[in-house]
Amino acid sequence: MMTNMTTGFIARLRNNDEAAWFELWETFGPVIRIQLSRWGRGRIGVETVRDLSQETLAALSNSIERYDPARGARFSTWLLAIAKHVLGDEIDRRMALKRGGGKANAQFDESWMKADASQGVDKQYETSIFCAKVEAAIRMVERETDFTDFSIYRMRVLDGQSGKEVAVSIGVSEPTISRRLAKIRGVLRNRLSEVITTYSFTKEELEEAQRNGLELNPNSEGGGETGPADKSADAMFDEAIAEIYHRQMQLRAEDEQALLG
Amino acid sequence: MSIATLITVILSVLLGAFVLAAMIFLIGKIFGITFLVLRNIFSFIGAEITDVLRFASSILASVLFAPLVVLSIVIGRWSASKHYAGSLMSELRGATRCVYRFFIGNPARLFGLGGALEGVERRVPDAMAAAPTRDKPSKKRVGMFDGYKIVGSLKGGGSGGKLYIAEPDEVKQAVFAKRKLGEVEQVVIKVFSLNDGSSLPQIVRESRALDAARQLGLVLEHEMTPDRFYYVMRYVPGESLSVVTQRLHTLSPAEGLGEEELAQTMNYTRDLLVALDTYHNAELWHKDVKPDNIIVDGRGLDSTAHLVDFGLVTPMRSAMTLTTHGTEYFRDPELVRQALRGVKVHQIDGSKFDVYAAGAVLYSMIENSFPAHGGLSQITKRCPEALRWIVRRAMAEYDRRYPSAAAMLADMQVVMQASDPFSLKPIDLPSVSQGDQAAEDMVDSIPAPEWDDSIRPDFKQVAGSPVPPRVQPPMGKDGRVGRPQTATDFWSGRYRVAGAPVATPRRKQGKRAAAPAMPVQRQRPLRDPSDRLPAREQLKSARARAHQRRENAAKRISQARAGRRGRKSDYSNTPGAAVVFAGLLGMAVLFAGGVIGYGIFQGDSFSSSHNDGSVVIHAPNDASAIATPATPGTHDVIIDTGSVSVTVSNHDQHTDHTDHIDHTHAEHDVLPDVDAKLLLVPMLVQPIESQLMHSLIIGTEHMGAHGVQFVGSVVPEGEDESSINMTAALQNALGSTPNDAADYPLKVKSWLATQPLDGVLMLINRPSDPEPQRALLVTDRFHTDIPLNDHAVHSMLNVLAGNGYTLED
Repeated sequence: MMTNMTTGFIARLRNNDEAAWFELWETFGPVIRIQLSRWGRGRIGVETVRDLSQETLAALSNSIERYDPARGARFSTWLLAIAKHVLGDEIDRRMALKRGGGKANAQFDESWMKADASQGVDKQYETSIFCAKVEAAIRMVERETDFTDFSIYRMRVLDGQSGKEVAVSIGVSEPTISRRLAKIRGVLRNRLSEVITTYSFTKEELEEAQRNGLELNPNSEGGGETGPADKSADAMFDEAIAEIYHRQMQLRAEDEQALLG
Repeated sequence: MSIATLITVILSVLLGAFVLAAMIFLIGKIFGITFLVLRNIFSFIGAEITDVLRFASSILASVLFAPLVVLSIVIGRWSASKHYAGSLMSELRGATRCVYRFFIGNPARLFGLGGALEGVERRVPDAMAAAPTRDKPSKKRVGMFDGYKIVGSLKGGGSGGKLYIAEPDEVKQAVFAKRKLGEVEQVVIKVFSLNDGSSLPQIVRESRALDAARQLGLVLEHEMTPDRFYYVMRYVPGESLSVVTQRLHTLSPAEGLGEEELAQTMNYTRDLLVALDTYHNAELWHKDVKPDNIIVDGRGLDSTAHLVDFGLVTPMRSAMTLTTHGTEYFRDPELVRQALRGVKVHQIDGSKFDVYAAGAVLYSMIENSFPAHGGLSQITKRCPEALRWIVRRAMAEYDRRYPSAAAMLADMQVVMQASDPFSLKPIDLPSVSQGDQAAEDMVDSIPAPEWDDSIRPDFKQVAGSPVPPRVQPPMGKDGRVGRPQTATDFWSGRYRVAGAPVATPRRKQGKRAAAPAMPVQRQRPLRDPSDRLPAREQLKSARARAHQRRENAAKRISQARAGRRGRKSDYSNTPGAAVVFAGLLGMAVLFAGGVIGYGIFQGDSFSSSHNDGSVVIHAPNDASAIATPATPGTHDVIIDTGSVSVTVSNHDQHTDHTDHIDHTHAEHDVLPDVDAKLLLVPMLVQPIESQLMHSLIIGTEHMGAHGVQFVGSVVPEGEDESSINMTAALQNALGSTPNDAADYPLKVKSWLATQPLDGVLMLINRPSDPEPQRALLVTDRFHTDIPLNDHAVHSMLNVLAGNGYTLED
């Protein structure tokens, strides 16, 4: 089940829209890099991991043409399968070089298109992919909103300061802080919805946000009126965002350190 | 059951529950600790086994490589022996590491002492890798560079160039002294050699950057030979900021930098921002700001940070396409996006990318890590709230970050001046409370302290430091000229203002003393450290010359027009020219007569007619080729005896080359000599056909031979910095105006008024035109557009001559 946004994005990739490729790289490149370094630890160096992660995205251009949405693979599986193929190809190439032979590059196995648990997708990888989507949404919000407004959201939600502390820091009143928080939260919900829609192939992936405590449309059942329930939903949403943000930072920090060290 | 019994039972149950809970807790903890210990033990065993296997593998590989090295030497294959020796050394290094891990590293980690090994495993190798090599010159290196004695080398960066430390001989030192560069004891020579693996694009890129860097006096001298290119800059030993940052964190508590270390990082950031501000005022973009390119000179609070390596320095007005060069994590992702869109350098504000990098450098100093998430990177270490704000603002989205290094500097200055930086809030920063413009002005309005000569920093102690700029009247943003200043330290921006009160430098006042206002030099440095006139004077002189030339031309035109009443020709008022012209006219009439006679004799298609004194000759191709450059089709040669002009037109091409040309002036096959300086702007749609390109090259050469001085070239290789800058400025002025718009030439004219040029020759495409490739010639007196065909050169020279751009008599 692919939405218009997903197919639109894939169409951009197919049309070699460089901005779309960079967007994909910026969002998921680090996750792929981390995954490759986990698989190839001890066998491939930092530079090779970087090269391979780029080759992974390059390999997408071919697989996109053959992608069959009817077979039910997740977006994350799609990325992982390609990364695995690229890594396997690299290992094969090295073995062939060692033997002095001319082994042809591996053929891309398209069995990944099936919704199959045997693809080796672990929980940490899935978490990384979802966190990367949330991070991409936060980054989009940072780009399009006022710096002070976003800083208020960052200080209040991501850094965990109280409303009063933020108000004193920025030199505005607490009600102003609340208004600006609400504004950023609204934009973030929209962007999150867009990102998750764009990078999801299955219904299960689309529902991932809700499963992680991110209610993207809190007023859908309440008629749009703000009430205690909405405030509660907002608080939960902020809490979930902060948790995902910190988890993502932690994951990335650990893996980057491991990659360097 | 009595109450006492009941209470006893309840207490017993509660006690039992408490004991049970405590036991469960303890058991849990014991299990946890046991699990941790077991995990460590298994990890230890696994690591030991792995290291043993790796050691065995390395030794085996070494045993295989060793005979290959010997064999290669025996059979004289030196390159192969070097290759195998490198592999052998790599294997032996790997084996040594295995031994270290087996006996020290792994056991230490088993007992949780991994942190204690950080210094041995990370900082020592980094410091060793960055250390200069031996000071004694090898025989091979003696005489490698004329006038310099190589005394050591430095680790090369990512650019592929080799870095040598050298001492200039007495002659060189005398030359530097004569150029007022001060005492130069040691220099760094960066060399790119085709023989040593550098590629031509690298050399070209570095040499381009060199032109820009010379503007700041960063380069003492340079030389380019067919196989290598090198340049010389000052040298002072120091450590890179990344090494210093690691040391600062080692000296600090685990939660973040200590007070003194924090003050040091703020000092370094201040130095960096001052350097960047200087670059940006000179309209240069450093483009590779990162800790490895910042050298720290000295220790403690007296140390100074110097921005070095200008391999990527780019003029901000360059017309080149943006590239993605730079270093990941310190390069704004927006730069990559813009580069992917094919944006030109002058279309973006490069200084903002340097500001981003400065924020990333500050982040890396605070966190002892790199900003892996760009602007979203989390600051986890102890850090003042205001400083946190500065990092985030510097790394914010392109449109939302600090507009300049000066604005960031103003904020940084406030944090540095605070008695307790941790008490500061973002609202206390000038950019937040008063706005960016006020923050920038604050830097501008800070009175400049005068530095006593006795405490003036010695330039020889400044790593890669440039020459101080020559004295120039300071110019504020509003263009007002202030008191004369003498720069005393280029890097820190210190300068002396004539008549200003003496101030004591901050660093002599102790670590927590309030910092004096940052002296930032807001004037542009000189473009060239040599003794030539300043750019402003050169421009003024060029304008005066152009004005004088125009006046002379106007005078001659008016004299010619006055004399026309008594003469048939206004072509010349000198006997020599008159004789030449009469001769030409006679030749033309003879030629026409000959052609007519030949036509009559041959009974061919020649014909003639007389229309009010003019003779029209229809000639076939072969005849017209005699009078005009070879063009296909039938031509009319019109000899107008009344106005004394010869016009050649081509029927097949349905063009009239006399458009826009003043017919009161003579037109003939002999190209007139002119005197005009034109900016050549090739804007034709790429790729250009080789034949057209060839014609363009020949055409510009012809025009050059007849007195047109071109700034720029039709071939990219012929472009120089000034032509690129001028072209960029022109394109800026034109914006998105289409070239067929009515106001297009007017915009060119208004831009031209500020330039030391006579005109602009733009090679453009007009798809709607039958002849889409055209030359648009614009001067302050006229503009014309001419199709790019064989007559273009002829027409342009005539129209220039006709409008007074002739050689002075």
